[in-house]
Amino acid sequence: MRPECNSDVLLWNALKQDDQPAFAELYQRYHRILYSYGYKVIPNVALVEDAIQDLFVDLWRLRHSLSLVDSVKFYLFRSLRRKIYQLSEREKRIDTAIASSTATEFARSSEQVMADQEQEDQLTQRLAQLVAQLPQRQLEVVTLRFYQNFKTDEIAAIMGITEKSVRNTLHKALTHLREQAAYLAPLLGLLLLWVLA
Amino acid sequence: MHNYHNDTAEELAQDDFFRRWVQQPDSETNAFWEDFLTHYPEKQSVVVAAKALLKAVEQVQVLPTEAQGNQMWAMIQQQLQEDATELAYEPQVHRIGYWRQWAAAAAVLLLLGLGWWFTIRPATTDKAMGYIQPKPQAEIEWIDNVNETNHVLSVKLSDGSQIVLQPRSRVTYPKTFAVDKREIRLEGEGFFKVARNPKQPFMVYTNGLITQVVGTSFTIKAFPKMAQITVAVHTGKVAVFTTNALAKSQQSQKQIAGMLLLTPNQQAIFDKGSERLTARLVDEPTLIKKPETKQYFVFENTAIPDVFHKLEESYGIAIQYDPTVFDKCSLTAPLGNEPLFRKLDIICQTIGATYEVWGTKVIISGPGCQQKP
Repeated sequence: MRPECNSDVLLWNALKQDDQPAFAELYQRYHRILYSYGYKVIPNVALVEDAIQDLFVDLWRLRHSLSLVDSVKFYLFRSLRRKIYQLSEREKRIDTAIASSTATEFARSSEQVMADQEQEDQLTQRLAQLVAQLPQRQLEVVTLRFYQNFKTDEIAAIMGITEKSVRNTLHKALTHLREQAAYLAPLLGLLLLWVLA
Repeated sequence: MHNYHNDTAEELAQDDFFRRWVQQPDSETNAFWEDFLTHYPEKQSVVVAAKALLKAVEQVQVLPTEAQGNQMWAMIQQQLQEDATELAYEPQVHRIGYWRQWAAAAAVLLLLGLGWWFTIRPATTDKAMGYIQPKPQAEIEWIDNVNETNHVLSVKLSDGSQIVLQPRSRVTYPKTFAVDKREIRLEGEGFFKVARNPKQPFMVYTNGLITQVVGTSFTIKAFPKMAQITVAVHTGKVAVFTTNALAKSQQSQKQIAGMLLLTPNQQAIFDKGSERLTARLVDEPTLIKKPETKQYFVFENTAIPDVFHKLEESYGIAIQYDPTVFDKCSLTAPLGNEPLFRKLDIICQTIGATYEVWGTKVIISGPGCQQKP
């Protein structure tokens, strides 16, 4: 276990004892990655911001009834996802937002492709474009697995689906990336090697 | 430890120890993976591919800006402050010390009129303020809110407007607003989200400059030690003018001279020394209109006037160019959510033009295109 996980639990216990600096520290530590994840669940800035605010307000209000947790990060992610769904259902914003969700923001691709770069960076760029185009659910699983570093069972619990469907979704996403990468292979010698690997 | 030499790129990417190396490399992971590559040089491409996959996923993440993070925190604080006030009569209230201290530190100081304000300020700065300031009336209670903490402070006004006040900044406002206007004084930096009310204009007074709005959001930076005051507009329309100009117009019953009307992504810059007030684009214009589709900025053989028109609409800016020079130019570029100026760099590079920002306008110049590139 890495040190920050231990200190997470310390912060959590301090929070239960009404320690406000601990509360602020939890916010500082997690709001960025929570936002990043929330945005993958629903690309609606206002709604994600509201959900994060509500999540932390609840956390403080309910601090005395919080249970001990093994992983604070897991708890926060699962709570955030629930909040987003509650809010979006309440405001019925989800359909429109998901419809526009394909407008995945993805800043660096073209500007970086234009600049002359090393092969590894080019590969990253191409893959990033492909990743950005994955269906929302696949992107969510890929983000949780490869960026937020959750295990399959944790992802299942966060998203409220079975472990099997987490694995299937991940498999689908990776297969898709591999196939697309293969298609691009003639452009980038390296990709071919990835496919053969 | 696991034998990695048979792993595929995808398996490597799923491995915690491998991910740690890519995401947060330290001496242990560096030593191990460098050693791995010297032993299995044929695995280089697999490692590169696995790394690229992880970095690609990282790249598509959207992180909040620092300002967004601060604003969310301010909103959390505000909601919890409201809790604390509601709980004020319950016995356990002493446990909520933090927010009560905040409320106390944010010193709700009741003042009788603003006269006091000027006595503590250097006399040179506010020559003309005498007439224009919210008139000191004995019956008006003024609230003076100073942010002495080192985090942002959220202030809610009686009309529902909100101010996110940066550290070392202060706002002063009446407990109840006058019927015909809402007057606020700011020193330092504040983000304002103003509740719409056309009958009661919202006016922010800062050291020689007045910002007047009906309902909108904007940021003012007016630190006493800085030579300039800036007012940057996020949404809605904002009028900015100097206190001198207002004083003159009150004396002569004429319109206020040199008033700037700002729209989103524009900012007013007031130089305190020369009292010059100019309008410019903000440093990082944001989208004022959400792109309709993901492909919104993907251009394929698109005529340049259409490209510029789209940018003008999306960012609420004016782009000036000679259509006869550029009529043969077209653009093919898969643009996305790059900042505006980055988009302009790419476009200009493609059509062999250059751009300059003049005030609130973007001016494009160049020789034009011979044939469609």
